[in-house]
Amino acid sequence: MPDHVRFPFFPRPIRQLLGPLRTSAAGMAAQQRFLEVIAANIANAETTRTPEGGAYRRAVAVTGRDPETGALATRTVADERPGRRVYDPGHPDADADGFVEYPNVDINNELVDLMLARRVHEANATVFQAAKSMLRRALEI
Amino acid sequence: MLKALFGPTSLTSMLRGGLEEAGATHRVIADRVANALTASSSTDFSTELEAQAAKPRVDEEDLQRDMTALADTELRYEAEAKLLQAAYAQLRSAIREHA
Repeated sequence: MPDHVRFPFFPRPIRQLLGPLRTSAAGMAAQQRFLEVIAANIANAETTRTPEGGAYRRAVAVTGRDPETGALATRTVADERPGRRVYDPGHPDADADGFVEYPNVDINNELVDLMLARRVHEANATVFQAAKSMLRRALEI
Repeated sequence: MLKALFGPTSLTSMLRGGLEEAGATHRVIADRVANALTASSSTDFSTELEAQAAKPRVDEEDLQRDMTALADTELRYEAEAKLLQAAYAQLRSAIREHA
C-alpha cells in the first residue's frame, strides 16, 4: 500500500484494526515481489544471452526493514555464483573452448521458494481477512 | 450509580479493554506474519554478499503458532464484541422509558 494512503480519523479501537490491514497488505506486496522474481528466474532458466552480457543471473528477493521509515521493503539482488558450463561448440553463445554457460537457476530451488512465498502470502491474506471481519464486527456494536 | 454502569470497573469498560487488547494482539500477529519471509532479523539491509547468502526462509513452527494465535484472537474479539453489544443493549433497555 503506498505511503500516501492515509486513514482518516477513526476512534482508537477502529484505528487499531486498520494498522494490521496496512501491515498485511505490505506483506502481501512483498510476497508478490518474491513471486515476480521467481517467475523471472524460471522464465530465464535457459537464457544464455542477456543485454548485460553473459548468461542470465538468478535474482533473489530480499525483504528487510527500511532503515529510515521502518517499513517493510523488498529489493532484488543478483546471485553471482557461476552457472553450469555445457560443452556445445555449435551453440552461438559458446566460448572459444566450445563451452556455453547456462544460468545459475535451479528450477527445484525456485519451486521450493515459490511454495514458501505462496504459503506466507496465504497467511497474510488470512490475517487481512481476520482484520476485516473484526473491523466489521466492531462496527456492529 | 452511573459510575457502576459506566466507570472503569463496569462490565462495559472491562469488555472495551478486552477489545482493545485483542486488537493489539492482532496487530502484533499481523506484523510477525508480514515479516515471516524477512531473511535476517537485523533491522538494516545486509550487505550485498550477505544478501546473496540469505535464502528466503520461513520458520514453519512460528508461522503455525501465529496462525493459531490469530484464530484465537479473532474468536476472542468476536465474543467480546458480542458481549459488549449485549451489555449495551441491556443498558439501553434499562434507560429507556417504558410506557
